[in-house]
Formats: sequence, structure tokens, C-alpha cells
Amino acid sequence: MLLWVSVGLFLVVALTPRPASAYTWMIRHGYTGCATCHVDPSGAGLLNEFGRGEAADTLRSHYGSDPPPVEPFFGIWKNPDWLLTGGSFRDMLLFTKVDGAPLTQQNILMQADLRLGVETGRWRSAASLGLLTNGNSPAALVGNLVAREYWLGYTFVNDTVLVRAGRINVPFGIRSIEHTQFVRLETQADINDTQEHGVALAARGAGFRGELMAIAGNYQVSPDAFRQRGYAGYLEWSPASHYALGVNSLVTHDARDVHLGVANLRQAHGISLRAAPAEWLVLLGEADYIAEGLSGRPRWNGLATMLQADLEPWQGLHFVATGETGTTTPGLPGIGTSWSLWGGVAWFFLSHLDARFDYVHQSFSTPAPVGRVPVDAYMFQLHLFL
Amino acid sequence: MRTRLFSALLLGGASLLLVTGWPGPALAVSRFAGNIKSDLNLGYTPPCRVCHIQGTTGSGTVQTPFGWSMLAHGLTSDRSTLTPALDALRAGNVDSDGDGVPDIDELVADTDPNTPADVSLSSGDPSYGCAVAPERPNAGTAALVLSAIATGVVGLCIRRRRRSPRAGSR
Repeated sequence: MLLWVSVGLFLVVALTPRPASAYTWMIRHGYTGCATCHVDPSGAGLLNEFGRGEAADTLRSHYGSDPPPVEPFFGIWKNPDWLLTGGSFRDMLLFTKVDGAPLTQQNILMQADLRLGVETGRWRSAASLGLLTNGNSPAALVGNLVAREYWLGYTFVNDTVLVRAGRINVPFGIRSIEHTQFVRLETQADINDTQEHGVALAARGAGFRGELMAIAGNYQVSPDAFRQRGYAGYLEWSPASHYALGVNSLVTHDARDVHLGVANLRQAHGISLRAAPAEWLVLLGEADYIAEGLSGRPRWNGLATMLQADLEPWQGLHFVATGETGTTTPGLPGIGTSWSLWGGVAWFFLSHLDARFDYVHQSFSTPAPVGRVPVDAYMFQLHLFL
Repeated sequence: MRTRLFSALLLGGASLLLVTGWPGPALAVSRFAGNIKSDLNLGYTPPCRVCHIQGTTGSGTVQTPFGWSMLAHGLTSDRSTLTPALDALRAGNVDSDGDGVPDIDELVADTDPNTPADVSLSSGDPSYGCAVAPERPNAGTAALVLSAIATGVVGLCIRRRRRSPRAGSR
């Protein structure tokens, strides 16, 4: 009987609506930091109890007299004090049109993650386990079973300082679900699957927050030559409750770059901005200087930038416009700047459920004779967050 | 209570079916790499990273210089477009990394057409996963493993809750 109940509860955990993660535009509600709602002090992933309660009310649209909220796990299960649960299911229908080639279509299961966390005394921990459509993810445990993050930490000074070790989101730049932005691709610091193993120290105080991580390499990639080691960190200052300005820095070295195939001393240094001049408008920006020190070749320098406006005229309905520049394949001679424009609509139309449509026009600079390659992409996403 | 539990089980079952029954990955690894090997009569199978950024497969990940060149010369997800695209690259002496050696010559010589550096393609791709990952991702097996682990955790929670006098009080 216990087994059946357990199976049922697991499945309910995987399906029961719960709030979401990694929405940087929550700064419009005065949340300059992330630790208020997330177990990860730098944001994204598993929510704490306060985060679940807060997000249930502030993310979705409200229609007149709302029905009473659904009790967690339909009222048949209540987490013990020390246990946090959550998850995320995201599927995308992607249409891609490369100049001169026919339209292609693919259904991508981007995320089907179950998240667990434990908070007892000063100890903190979080872990995720899930599935992906694509194989060969840097977060793969085996096949398309992925564990993006898992860490154990200890807090000090009234929970304002956390030391943790494990597989951790690389602390650099603005955390968002748009992991294909140039600033995320080129810094290899996204919340999708580029987490690294290491030890990190996070701290927050009046008007500032930051995290510094010693990167020991991704031990879910082998052989060792492909593991990059170094540091990453950010420091963010909030002069007012709706504004935050950050500096970010990252230096890593690997004996064989996964993409470029040679030893690489990789650097990224930049600034980031989050601002909510009005509750209906959030501006996000990031600019990163990138340097690739490739073995046997001159150092390559580049720039990745991103500016995004998120308009929320009605609670739960977001119009998102993004412009960005960058270089997808650094280190090649004669390559110029690539750019892209995003336009999208995201609607949190029900509690714990949102849909999103994006149109992206990209212009990739590649070496001659191919030259500039225009690409149009249409993305439909459905997201159930737990 | 039973009705709630039954409802929850039904919903949960639907969830699992959704996960395990989801369309599988594109599996470009085994199809296209093998075709490039046979088309060019190579002594090795080119790794995923020749076309896919960081070796991660999927239609949106064809973002290497050689991958762009193949797309620009007619490659689609249809395998029949591979040979004409390779032929077009050969005819045009396309050199995606600008090092003076055409892409096809680089593939034949076992050097990476994405970088001017002398990097062998046959010396191995990175392996992803704590164990040796199977070439064909198995969603069903993964879902079962995921279910088993989570079931164990939830079972422990229930057992602990039964034993604890403060369970459920928040």
C-alpha cells in the first residue's frame, strides 16, 4: 500500500501546479534579490515556501472573482517543514527557416524536471532530476536523464551567507530561461545545462548581493581535458528597490575546448542592469567582453550584448522585446558581429501554467564564402511549473 | 480521500505517459555522421560537434561554421539532402574556418573544418554523463529511473511523517 501511495504522490508531485522560477522581471515588484523566493541565493530553480506563496498570486492573470486556490498536492499531502519540492515541464514547438533552406519543424521537450530541497537548521540543499529530448547534454547523467544542479550548503550570519558545494549554476550575468541568447551562449553561464561542479560563497546585505564560485569542472563531461577550471562571480548593487547594477567576471581554462577543440583560456567580464522604472515596464541589459586565448593562436576579443524590455500591461500578460549582438563562433578569422531581434508574448493564463510565443530573427556572421546567414525562428512554448 | 487519491493517481499516470510517450530525439548523431563517413569514404565517424554546437544534437543546435555551410548548401533534417550538400561544398571549395583548406579536404584529412587549428576529429568527442552514455537516448528507461528514485524519496517522507508527532503542523 505504501508503495502505491508513494507512486501516486510522486506522480502528483510531478503534476501538481506550483509556482515558477527564474523570472528576472520580478524586480518590478521590488524583489532586487532572489534568495527571498529561491533556495539558490542567486536565483532560478527550486522555490522556498515564501516564493511559492508569492508567485502563486503575482505571476498569473486574474479574472474577476477567482476560484479558491488549489491546495498544494490537492490537499492530500503536505511537505514536512524540512522538505521543499517543485518541478518544471516545458515543451517547445520550434520552426526554423535558414535562408535558402526549407522550413524545418521540431518538437523539443526542453525540461521535465523534478526538484527537491532540504532545509534543516543551517543546512541547505537542492537537487533536480529530469529528462531532455536532446542527447549529449552537459548535464546528462546517462542518456537523456539530466541532473542540472545538486548541492549541499551551510548558512551563516542569519542566512545571509551561504557556502555550498556541488553542481551549481555558474554565477554570472542575468539569469533567464532564454539560454540561447548570445550573452548566455558565449559566457556559457545559463540555467539550462552549463552548470559546473565547484564551491561557491554567496552573500547578501543591505543593497547588495553577490556570489563567487571556484569552478572545479563539469564532472559529467569526460575526459578531463574538456573540463574547464577557474572562477566565476558577480556583485550586484541596488541603490533603490527597483534598480540593480551588477558586475560579472569569469576566467576558466581547459585543455581542450568542447567547441573549439584546442586549449582555451576563456574570459568574460561585464556589467548587467535590471531596472523597473514603472511596474508595467522592466528593462534588462547585459554587456560582456569576451576573450578566447586559444592555444597557438592570437587572443580573440569580442563583445556580447543584450537589451530586453518586458512590458506587463495586465498582470500575467507580458510583451517581450529583445535586441542582442554577439559571435557564435569566436576565434575564426574574418568573422563579424552576429545579431538578433526577439519579439514575444508570454501569458500566465492560469495558475502555474503559461504559454509563450517568440519570433526571432537572427543574422549570423560566418566566414566567407558563406558570409551572413539570416535565420528566422518561431517558437511556441507551453510551461507547467510546479 | 479515496476519490482524491484516485484522481491524483490518474493525473499522475497521465503525466508519466506524457513523459514516456513523448516524441523521441532527432538522433542526428547516428544518421548523418554515418552518412558523411560513407559518402566521403572516411576511416572514422565524424563527431557531433562538426555540426552541432558543443556536440549537443537537435535542429536548433546546428551552429558551427561547417554546420552553417551545410545548411546554406541545402542540408535539412531530410537525410537525402546530405549528399548534395557535401557535393556542393566540394564543388565550391567551401572553407568554413578560413584556414585555406576546403572543408571536404579537412574531413578527409581528419582535421576539424571549424577551426584553423590542427585538431583531429577522430581523437574523440567528449562523453556526457556519469557513465558511458548510450548513443541512442532512452526516454523510457530514464523515466523509470526517475520514477523509482522519486518514489523512494516520497516513501521515506511518508514513513518519517508517520513517525513524527509534529508532522503536518506548520
